[in-house]
This record gives sequence, structure tokens and C-alpha cells, in this order.
Amino acid sequence: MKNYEQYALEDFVQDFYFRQWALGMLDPKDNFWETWSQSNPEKRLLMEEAASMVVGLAFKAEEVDSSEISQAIARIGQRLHKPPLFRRKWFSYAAAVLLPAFIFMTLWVYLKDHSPEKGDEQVRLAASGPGWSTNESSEVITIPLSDGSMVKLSPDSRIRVDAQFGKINRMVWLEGEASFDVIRKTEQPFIVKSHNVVTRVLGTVFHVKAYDYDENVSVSVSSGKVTVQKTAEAPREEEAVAEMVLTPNQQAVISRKNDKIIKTLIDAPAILRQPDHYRHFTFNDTPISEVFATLEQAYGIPIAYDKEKLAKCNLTARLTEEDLFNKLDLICETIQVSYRITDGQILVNGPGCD
Amino acid sequence: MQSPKTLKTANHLSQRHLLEENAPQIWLSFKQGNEDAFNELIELYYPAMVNYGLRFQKDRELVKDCIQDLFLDLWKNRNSVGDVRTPKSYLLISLRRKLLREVGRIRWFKEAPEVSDEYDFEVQFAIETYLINKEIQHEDLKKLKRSLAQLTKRQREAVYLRFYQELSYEDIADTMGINRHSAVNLVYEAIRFIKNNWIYP
Repeated sequence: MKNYEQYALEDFVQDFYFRQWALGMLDPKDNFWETWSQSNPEKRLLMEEAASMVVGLAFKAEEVDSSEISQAIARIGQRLHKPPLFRRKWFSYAAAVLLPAFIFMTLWVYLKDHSPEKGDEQVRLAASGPGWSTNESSEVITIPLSDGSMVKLSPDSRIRVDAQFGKINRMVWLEGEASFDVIRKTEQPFIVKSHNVVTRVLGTVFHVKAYDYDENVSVSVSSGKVTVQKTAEAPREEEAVAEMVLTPNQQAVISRKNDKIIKTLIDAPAILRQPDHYRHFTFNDTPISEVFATLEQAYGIPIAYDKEKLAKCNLTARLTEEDLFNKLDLICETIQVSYRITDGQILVNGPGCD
Repeated sequence: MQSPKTLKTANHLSQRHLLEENAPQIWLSFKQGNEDAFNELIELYYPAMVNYGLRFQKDRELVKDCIQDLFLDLWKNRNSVGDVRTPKSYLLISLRRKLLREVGRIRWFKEAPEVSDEYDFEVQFAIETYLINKEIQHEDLKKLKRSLAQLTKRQREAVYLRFYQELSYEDIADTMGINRHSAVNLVYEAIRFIKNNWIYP
């Protein structure tokens, strides 16, 4: 046994066994430290001080639940077993590539005769090549890419993977609608081309909507960061017309006809991070600046307002159940202001409280 | 005397501590190409790595991606990875380096213009959250919070590695790129500082 009689405060603080006791992490049946303190009453004060210090030096843990771990293992495993070309399983991979190609060729021959003229030269050219996969079913289908990224392709949508995919970059063409869950690879940006809109990411989850009949292309982000760029109609040298960075819960709507590119919010912004301080969005006579800061952090959306004007406003409310826009409605109603969404931000306007 | 269960902290320590005793065997088995052992390593160290990574980089997704890349590289290079004293410190060092490189690259790609130049080591002591949640006005605890805030960045990292990650001084030294003596000093200085400012002011 260790010579605990000789221990100074510093030594107790460093002792793993003592630390566990101080943090209440020992087996309840283990009463070593209780017994020890009874037989060493002169050390009791020191133990108490050391225990408070251990508690004081405890760190706030970041929650990592078991589903997150198993997800990580699955993803790593997936990337570990990506198609080893010219080795086993090549046959099934060849089939996986050829089958959609065959389906597409059949479809294309059909479409060539039946579809009305296509508006976009670029897309028609791309679509005339092989390698497109079309979702002819009525449900979303999931397509794994060779780098481990996942594409969820909506019905009536098609996607083509670049033959050079994974060499310099990871490029796909999309017509219709799809969600992307992209594995991060810093050396190889993931690029989605849809009509004249180029979406570029390193690794993230996002959604692109680019139907042929739709005048707009929209891109929305669930996590990570995405760059959206509009190219010139004729793809001469991919000259950039406009570029925009999107963060989670933001959405870009890009007009195919003119140069308009609008940044807005998605319809139902998700909570990215539960608030640490005002748990469950419970506010009790809280200054409005802190209320807005809590929302900003939770949803990752900037809120702009006149700090001086609203300095005296407070809020008492519990906004656990409401979605973001209902939360804003209630807050604005309470402190008598209004809000609008501009350029992916929330702008609050009003006279303030007295 | 009752165990002072004032604060809720991660009880991952006690469970994982037992598993870690097997770490050297698991590591060996992984090096011989056993994929189950590889998965066990991930399971064992993933939470600690996420936690450590978030001290340098707040973007959780980025940290997770880096950890994935790191494990993939580890598997590919399993034959050339030398003997390590403890897998845990090896993984933490690698993650530290990788995050440093990665953040530099992103800045270059101008994807994240707001990334700061300096590497901060941010920790939140449980006591801060405790004070805020309970809206406690306890002078004593406030004094503790003030003292904790005065620790230097390196002291904080050393204390974190020692008391949260439960690394040995050798491993702390390796991870922070300093010698063992300095690692011991950083931790003892921090404890003494808190002692003098809080317990016996």
C-alpha cells in the first residue's frame, strides 16, 4: 500500500485512487478512504482540501455517445474496404458500374426521341455521355461513392460520377435533387456541377436541388462549410460570376437565368449544438443580448440587432419545443420588435424596452 | 467523511481505465493486421481523441474527419509504425499534429477565413458550468474559477492531459513536445498556484 500518511496536498490531488473517490466514481462498496480518514483524523482537513481541489480541477466532458463511436468505426471500415481494383470482387464492381450505364443508355435512347428540347447545353452534353445513374423508382436511393461518401438521390434525378473521380478532385454532375454526405479529403475537393452552379466542399453534409424544369438551383447545408459558385452559361474557362460561402442551416438559391444568387435560411433550421448555459432554452429575466447569443450559437445563424436600443430588454420564457422561427416570433412579440431574414442572417428591428 | 459528489463529471475514466490495461496487446495484434483489434483501438480511444481535438479546434466535424483520416493512415502504415510506449499518447500526438496541418490547409483553401492564426488550447472546467447552471453565488467557488482562469495555456494543457486523459508524465512530455521534468513542473505549478490562491490565500 502507498504511504498515504506522508502525502501532501499535491500528492493526494495526483493520486488516481483518491481522485476517483473525490469525484464519487468509486464503487459504493469501496470505503477505503472513509476508513482511512477515520484512522487518520489529523489528515481529515487536508483530505477535504485535496478533494475540493480535485473537484475544482475537473474538466467539462464533451459527450461522445456510443452511436457516434460505432458510426466512426463503420465509416473507417467502409473506407478501408473501398474497391480494390483488379483484385477480388472486380466482377461485382464492374456490374455495379455497367448496370446503371445500361439502364441509362436504354432510358437515353427513349428520351432522345421523346423528351422536348433541353434548355441547358452543358447538361445535355454531359448527359449524352455514359456513366449516368438515374433513379427511376419513387423513393430516394442511396448511392455509395468510391471514396466512402454517400449520395441520396431523389426520384426522377440522375447523377454522373467523373471518370477521374478521386484523382485530382472528386467531381459529380447532378440533374434533379440529391443529398450528399461527403467524407473529408482536404487534397481532393468534392465538386457538384448542376446546370451552371458549382458547389465545392471538402467534407460535409449538404443538399442540392437542380431540376430541369426549375428556374432556380438551391443548395442547403446541414454541417460543415460549402462554397457555391455560378459559372458563365457557356463554360469557356469556368469564369466565376458569383461565389458564396454557406454554413449550416443556410441555403443559396441561384437563378439559372440571371446573375441573382440569394442567401437565405432553410425552412426548418436544426439545432447544431444544445446550449450549455441556458439549458433547454430556458430564460429567466435574461438580457436579450444573451438570449440572441444563445440562439446564434445553437443554430449557427448570425443575429443582428441594435445592442444599445435593446439593452434594457429582458426575457423570461421556456422555448424548448418551438422551432427557430416560432422562438423568434415569441421573443419578438414579448419585447415588441420584428425580424426578417436577409443574406442568411436574422435582422431584428424595433424601438426597445424601457 | 462522505465522498464529495458535488460535480457530475465524465465517469468514462473508471471503465476505460480497465480496458486500457490491455492496450499493449491490442496494439500488437493490430500491427499484425487484426482488424478486430484495430476496431477495438478506435472504440477505446475515439472519445479521448474527440475530446482532445476539440481543445484545439471547435469544429466537431473537422475533428471527427481528422480522426477518421488518422486511423486510416494508421492502418495503411501499420507495418512501419514503430513501437510506442502507450497507444494513447501516440494517437493524441498524431491528432495534435494532424489538426495543426489540417487547419493550415483549410486556411489556404480559403474555406474558413475566420480560423485564427494562433493555436489556442481551450478547456472548460466543470466548475464554470456548475456555477452558471446553479446560479451559485458562492464566493469560494468564484474565487476558484478566477484562479483557474489565471493558469497559463501550457499549464492548462498539462493539467488536462494529466487529470482528464490520465496520461503519465512521460506521455504528457511526448505529447506536448517537452521533457519529463517540464511536464512535472507544469502540473505541480498549477496545483500550487490553485492551492495558494484558493485554499490558503
